[in-house]
Parts: sequence; structure tokens; C-alpha cells
Amino acid sequence: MIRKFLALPTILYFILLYIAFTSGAIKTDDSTAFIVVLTGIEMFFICTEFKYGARNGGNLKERQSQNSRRDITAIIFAVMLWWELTTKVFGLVSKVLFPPLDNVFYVFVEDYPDMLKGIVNSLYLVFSGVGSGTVAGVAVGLLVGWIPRLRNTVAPIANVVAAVPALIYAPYVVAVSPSFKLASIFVIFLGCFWPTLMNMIGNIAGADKKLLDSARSLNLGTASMLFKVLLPYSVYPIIANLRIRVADAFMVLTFAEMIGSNVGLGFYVKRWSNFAKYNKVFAGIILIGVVVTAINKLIKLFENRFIKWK
Amino acid sequence: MAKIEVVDVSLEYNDDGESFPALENINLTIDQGEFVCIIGPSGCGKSTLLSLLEGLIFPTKGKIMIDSCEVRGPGKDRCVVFQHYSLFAWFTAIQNVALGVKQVAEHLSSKEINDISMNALGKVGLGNYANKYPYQLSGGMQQRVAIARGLAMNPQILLMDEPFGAIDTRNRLDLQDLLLDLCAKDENRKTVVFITHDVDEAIYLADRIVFMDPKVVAEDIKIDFGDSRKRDEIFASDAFMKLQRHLVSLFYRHLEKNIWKDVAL
Repeated sequence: MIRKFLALPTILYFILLYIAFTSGAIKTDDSTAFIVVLTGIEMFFICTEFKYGARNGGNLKERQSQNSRRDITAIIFAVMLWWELTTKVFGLVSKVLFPPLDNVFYVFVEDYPDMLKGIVNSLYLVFSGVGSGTVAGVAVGLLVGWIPRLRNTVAPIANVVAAVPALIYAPYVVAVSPSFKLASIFVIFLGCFWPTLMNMIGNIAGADKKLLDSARSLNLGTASMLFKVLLPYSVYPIIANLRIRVADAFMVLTFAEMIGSNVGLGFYVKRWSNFAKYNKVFAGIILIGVVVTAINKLIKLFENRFIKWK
Repeated sequence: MAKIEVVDVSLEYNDDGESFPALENINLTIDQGEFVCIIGPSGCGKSTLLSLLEGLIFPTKGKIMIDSCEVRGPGKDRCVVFQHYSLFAWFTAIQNVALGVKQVAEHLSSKEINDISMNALGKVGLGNYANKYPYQLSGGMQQRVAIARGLAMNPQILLMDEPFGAIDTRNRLDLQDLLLDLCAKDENRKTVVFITHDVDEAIYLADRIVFMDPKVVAEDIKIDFGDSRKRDEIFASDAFMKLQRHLVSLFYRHLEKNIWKDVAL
């Protein structure tokens, strides 16, 4: 019992807590947010430790994933500790370029209205762009992949266009478009559409020959073939592709926002780096990471909820 | 009456400009209601022949006739059961069957299609598993669903490509009896072309065995155990053992150290 409490993450947690409550070489903003984050991570760790830890006779798989949870928590705390020691405690590095974590997390308290607005705005653009791009890419890819003549014409073209990163033409599209919103949706759409199209053509063209024979021997018409066989067959690759596209979209969006927006997560990071407020830059980066992870979790949830086979 | 006629059929596969013969001058006539087993060593072209009958591929020379009409693609009069991949993973058992039924009976309401499908699943003993997905069923059960679909589609010709090849012995025997049952009960008997590499299975099931040696039909043997389909009686009979030894010797006849003396019939 006591040994469990004194696992490495918990020891690191108490050291960090001590640092957060005391003042070091560098004066910081209010540390409450940092303490809340630390405690949140530690509470999560302790709860899972009680639920899945070896002492509670969890099965092998649960114990293994708990081991990695413990390792990950330890690594997060260790990095935080190293950061706090070099910045806040001993002040070894420039406090402008390397802000103490207390200041980074304080930003979430200070700036949350801006951040929320940024999230809403960025998510709107990402969902519109990735949504339309995926639907279009899948629909066109399904048809093009299935009809050999179309495939042989479109695939080489798509190959070339998909190879050009959306980042390259983003500035141009932003410059040409009437509004920034339209421009970023369009850039994200393109950045999502072409790779999805390529992916989909690949899925269909490379579909298992035995599966196709089986479907053909049932005399399925084209519509049934496309929507009852090839589309469900491609669901897993489509979802895998979607994950990459969401991450990509955030990259494109952040970049686009840096050029021509006055709201959004990318804009937030860009603006504060112009003012050399790097604690806000760090906070923005963390926020983007959390949002992308949350979207990926959502996709996973959707997958588990609605796909009942395999 | 000749149901299926294979006339002078040759097939060559093209691979990088080189052509490999897969079948050479095959001639075969199968009558209405016959249960024909095609056996032969791996690569002898038996699966290729079945794909030709289904119309998934076409011969480079000669022609395949069904009811005196040349085969130009998959048709509603034929249905294939493969060894693998017969079922779609994203449909439940009954949806898999219904999808097949829908293709051959467009005029039926979805309730009628559902009834036919349910009935077919009942026949193969899977009435309680209608709403399970393939991954929830064992290999033998999946193959039963595939057979149920084949029967529900009510084709005149049932083509089976090693359907029991990947199934354990006990289930295989059950499925063999089930297949014979379902085919025998039918008033106008289905024509069945069944591919296997299992000699015992072929003798037990078939009215006629076609042995293919690389690319050609090497032997064509009529099987007649009368009306009796009692497995133990058939397997113990002298006729069965003689057939078995003969067929096994055919598999070995190209080997230099032939441990099996060629056993004449």
C-alpha cells in the first residue's frame, strides 16, 4: 500500500508541488492553475493505480497498460521537474524564452475567453474543411477506384496534386479569396480531399480479389457493389485516414491563421509570439495538442459505437 | 440433358508478356442434376475451371455453354461458395443471405426476402444465429451461412470451390451430410460442381469424379453406391476402398519414387 503511494510519479508530484508552493529564483504569476493541473494528473494516476494496479489483481493486459500509464506519468512529471528546476528554481535560462510552467498554466486562467473563442473558431473551420474534404474524397474515390478507365486517368493527376502540401498554396488561396473563413475552409478541404481520394482509390483498386469475386458472383449491381460492399470494406482505412487528415488540417489551419486571421488557435500562438509572450505561446501549443487528441478520442469513440463488426 | 458443356477450352494467363497455360483443351459435359466432384493436385486448374463456369474469367480458346447458351458473366442461374471470403464481415448472417436473395428476386418485398433467408438459415441449423456478425461465428458456421445463401438464391447450378477445405474434420463431415441432404430433398435436383482435394469427400459426395492432372482432364469416373448414403456402409465397402486407392495413386503417378502402385479399377 505505502509502496504503491511512493511510486516514482507520486514522489515527483510532491517535489513539483513543493516547488509550486515556494518561490524560487524567478518570481512567477499565480501558481494555482499549475497546481490544479499537477494534481489532476496525479489524481488520475492514483485512481487508475487503485483500479488496475497489480495489488488489485487486474488481469495481465490491464496491469501492462497501467505500467505504461505509470511510466508516462513519471516522464511527464520528470520533464516538468527539469523545466521548473532550470527556470523557476535556479533561473538558469532566459525567463522570456523559457517561461516557468506556473506562468504557462496561468494563461489558461487569464486568457480563457480568447482561447475558447479560438477553439470554437478553429474547430468550425477544421470540421467544415475535413468534413467536406472527406465526404468528397470518399465519394469520388469510390467511383473513380471502381471504374478502371476513370482510375487510370484520375489517379496519375491526383498523385501529382496530392503530393503538393496544402501549406504551399495556402498563402495564395488566402490572398485570392474574398474572406479568410472561406479561404481556410477551402485550403483544408483541398489538403484533405486529394490525399483521401488517393487513399480511397488505393483501397478500391487494391481490394481483395476474393472479396470482389464473391460479390460479383452474387450478381450485385453497381450501386450495391459500391455502397454495400466497397464502402463498408473501406471503413477502417477511411477512419485511419481521417485521423491523419485532422492532424494535417490543424497544421494547415494554424499556418493559414498565422497569415490572415484575427481569431483562432493558430492566430493566438502567432500573435503572442510576435509580442514575445512565450508563456502564452506554450499554453497555445498545449491547447492545440489537447484539442487534436480530444478529436482523435472522439473518432475512436465513434468507431467503437457505430462499427459493430470485427 | 447436358446442363453444362465445356468445349475445347484453353486458358492462358499473361504475366509480363509471357503466357502460362492454365487449362489445355478441356472437354467436359455435365448433366442436369449431376453432382460432380473435381479433384486433382494443387495448380491443376480446378479452381480456374470453376471461375470459368461462374463467368468471372473467360477462356482464351473454346467456349463454356450453360443450357446451350455461352457464358458471358456471372448469372442468376449459378451461385458460388468459396473456401474463404464468402461472407461480408459488415453484414449479419441474415443480411448476408438476404443480399444474395435480393439479387435474384427483385420483385419480392423485404419481408418475403427476410422469410426466405430465415428459412434457409433454419435449414442449416443457424436459426438462432441470424443476427450475429461473421466474426461472432465459427468457421464451420460461417460456411453454413454461405451454403444457406447459396440455397436461398435457389440457383440451378451450385459451384463450390473447396468449401470445406478450412474446416475441422467433425464439422466437415456434418456439412457434407447437410449438403447431400439439402441437394437430395430438392425435387428438381441442383447441378453441383464441387472442387476438393479430399479423395474421401469426393467419393462420398459425388455421382461422378473428374480427376484433373495439370491442365487437362485425366480421368472421368462414375460413382454409384445406389441410393444408400450411409457413410459407414459406403466407407467400409470394397468399391469405396478400390476407388480410394485408385484416386490416391493418380495423385502420386508423376512422382519418381511412386510408393503407390497404380491401382486399376
